[in-house]
Amino acid sequence: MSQQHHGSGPEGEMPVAAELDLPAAVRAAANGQLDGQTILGWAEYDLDESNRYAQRFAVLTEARLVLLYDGRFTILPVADIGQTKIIEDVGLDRLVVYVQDEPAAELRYTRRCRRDVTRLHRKLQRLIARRDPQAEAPPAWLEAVERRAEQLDRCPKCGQMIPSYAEGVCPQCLQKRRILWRLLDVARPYRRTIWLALALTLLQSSLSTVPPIFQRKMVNTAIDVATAVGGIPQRTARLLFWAAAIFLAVIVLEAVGAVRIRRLAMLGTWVARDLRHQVYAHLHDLSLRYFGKRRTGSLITRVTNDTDRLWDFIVFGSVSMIRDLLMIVVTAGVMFWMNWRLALVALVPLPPLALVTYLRSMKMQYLFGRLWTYWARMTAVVGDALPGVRVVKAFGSERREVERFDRRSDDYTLKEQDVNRVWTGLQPVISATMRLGGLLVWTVGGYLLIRHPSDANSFGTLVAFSSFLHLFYQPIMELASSNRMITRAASSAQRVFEVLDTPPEIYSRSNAITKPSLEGRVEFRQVSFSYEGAQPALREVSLVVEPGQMIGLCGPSGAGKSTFVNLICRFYDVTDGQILIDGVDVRDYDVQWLRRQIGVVLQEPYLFHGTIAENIRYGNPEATTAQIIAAARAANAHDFIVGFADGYDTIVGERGQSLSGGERQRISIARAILHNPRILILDEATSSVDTETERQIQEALDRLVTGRTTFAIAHRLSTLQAADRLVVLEKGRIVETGTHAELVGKEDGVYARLHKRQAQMSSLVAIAE
Amino acid sequence: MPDATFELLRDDRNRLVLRRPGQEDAVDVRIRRSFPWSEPRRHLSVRAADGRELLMIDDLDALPEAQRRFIEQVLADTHFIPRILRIEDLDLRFQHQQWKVQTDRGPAVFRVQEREDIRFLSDGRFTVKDADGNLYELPRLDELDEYSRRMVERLL
Repeated sequence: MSQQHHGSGPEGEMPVAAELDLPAAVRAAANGQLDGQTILGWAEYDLDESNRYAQRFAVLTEARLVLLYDGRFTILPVADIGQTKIIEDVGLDRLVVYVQDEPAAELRYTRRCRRDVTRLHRKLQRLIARRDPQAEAPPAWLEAVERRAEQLDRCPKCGQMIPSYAEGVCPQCLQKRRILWRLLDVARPYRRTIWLALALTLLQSSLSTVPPIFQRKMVNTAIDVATAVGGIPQRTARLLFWAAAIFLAVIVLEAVGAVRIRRLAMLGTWVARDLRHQVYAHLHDLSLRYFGKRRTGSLITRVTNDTDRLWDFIVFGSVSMIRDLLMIVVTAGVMFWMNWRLALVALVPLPPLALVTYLRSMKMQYLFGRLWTYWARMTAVVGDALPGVRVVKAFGSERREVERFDRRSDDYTLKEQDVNRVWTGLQPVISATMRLGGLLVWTVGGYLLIRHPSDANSFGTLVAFSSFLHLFYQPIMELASSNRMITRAASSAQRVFEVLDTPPEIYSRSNAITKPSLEGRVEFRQVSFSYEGAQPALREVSLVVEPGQMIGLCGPSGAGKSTFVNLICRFYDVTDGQILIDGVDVRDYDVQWLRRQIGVVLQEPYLFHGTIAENIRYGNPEATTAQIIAAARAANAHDFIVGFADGYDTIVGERGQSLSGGERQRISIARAILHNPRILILDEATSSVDTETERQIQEALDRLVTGRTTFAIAHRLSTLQAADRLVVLEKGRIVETGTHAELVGKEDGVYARLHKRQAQMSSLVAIAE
Repeated sequence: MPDATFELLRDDRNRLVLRRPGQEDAVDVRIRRSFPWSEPRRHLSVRAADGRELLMIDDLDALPEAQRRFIEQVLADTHFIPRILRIEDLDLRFQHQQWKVQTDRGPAVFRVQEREDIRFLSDGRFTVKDADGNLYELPRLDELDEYSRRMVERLL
């Protein structure tokens, strides 16, 4: 029945387009229960009642929630569903659906299904809220966000849902796209060099067979009494002639080889440079969200090590593989042409040789991988203990740390010995096989020569063959051991392309706006924002700030203060609503330009490695020395800077002159002053310094703030008294706005409460001091 | 040991309830382990739905039989950390690892992003965190069969 129903969808009804998305398995399991209904969504859930893995599906239509499991189904009419809630336990979540206050169904699932079940749950909640205005519905703005997210989570190429961990890069498609071939894309601008190099490689391989061929001629026509004709002078002349010919051939061969390798090395270097550039530039286009999720170390590796390994692969790996293949084909061809019987004999040691090399290199690869882990564990101890050396000394636990290191170091040494055992065993085996191969050729060749002397079975052939053996075995062994290089390059390429394939979240529109100058009017219109999923960090925030005003943002931690300023800088895009600067949506401005109009002074200012002057100049690369000094003066930094022996040329940053928190802060203020932004953001700029330093910083800040639209975040409310208006945030909403005086006067206002508590605290501090 | 008398039970809506004499019943409580790996049967925290601790059970084995059974069953119901019994395949070709395993909760296939996601526990066991954030327990190497052990050793 279901089939018929399906085949002839009744006209006029909603097209069951969404049903196309249902996997065949789900549709089969539904067994007609979904026919004729519009499917709003579906999700897989993967645990049964006794917490064992299962494959189950929940499908939501306008009228019913259908649960499909073990070939059976449960239908819950949406009209009957009362409350629904998700309980997060350890390692599993449960979606409980109540019908008339009784738990009617419980969907258990692991993290893998969390995203999809949560989405389905919200759709269900919306359905319920439509019927029952009492029920709490998810905010309306989330619906649009989710619909967009659902689109983004579907791979545009293969149409499958991208797993939630992959962040928009479809792992299937990334793998399928033949990662190593993509390297060729990168090398495309250099295709002329590549063709040239390939031609030279072919030439070189062919040329390498020439000296042995000449050798054969030399032996057969000049040296060997049995075959050479003519007297001693003629034979001597022939000997010299062929010697000269071989000499020439070697020179030409090596010259070609030199040109080839130089071309390739240069090519590889250029390609590596392009890759490094692409990866690094792309990293800078990615949003803060991306960086928040990765370890910096792993990103640095991608820019440096991984691109370097690819260079290695392009220059030495791929090319020598092609050369090896050509060498094998050409040499084998010539050998068969000279004497096919002997050529067959020469092939005998090949299979075992290739096999041994291949297996050993697999083993080595595994051992090296393990070695690497132990190395990392050993260095981790050092990396852990040295930065914490104060704690180590304070607890007198130096010996304990050394013992910890020694244990790891011993482990590593043992594993290293395993590696030594393998490679030291391999070398003699290879060498012996090759020698024995030579012996075989000489024996069989000698036998043929004695029994059936001919041009093919000549002494010269034997001599040539012993040269060929080397030309022949070498590339075969290299090929057999190259799988390590290929795997390494493939995984590096994958890491690199994973970065390159991540789409930047924040980008300038094609017709992005820049202006000669900004006035600095900032307006939030019903702004909502969530970092991840449903937890909103800001909810429907509206605020107008006139040019030059100073706004103090306060509220408990997690209230949304940092989110607020992140959105002004457009580190993230709003999920709903609009932020306008001078009446223009921030998304319409050129991102780079917009951020240049905004200055930021952070709680822990970051100074780059370089001189103080360079760090101040970071705010305006064209600034003159006089301007730098003026900025430093305004920031109350000039005096202590000149106090250093190196003055403005003092090196700061990692391994540089150590600066106190207050000094760094004032340098960063000088940087902001030089930057001269229209909009200024002070993020906890005066916390964690002593009172005197705070006064100096405050003074500097006061100079900086004048005439700029300023957003200041502070925990210490006293620093916000200069603000024109205070905005108090709580749980992502604006709960109070007003001047300091107004807000303090408010009975049981949030600000008044915070202020009172801090006043008590500081009186305690005053007593302590 | 604070000799707090208490009772944990389920109400008619299948919610977990903490009942203590002289206090109002706490409804919809959760039980969490303080030391899930090193001392799974001690220091169990009974908490309200909002995360406030209501009670600390110092030692599960010191409780009356019926209560102990009940709590064990609650823990089994609300904690899902599959124990890997056998490794069928471990694909290391790319920088992430593709695991195919048999667990005490059935077969599973998952992906591990980085080596750091495998954690050594001091007693020789391991925990493995997959790309979605699910945790698995991997027994000590000498408790695994030969093939599984060889697979894991490739990682160590």
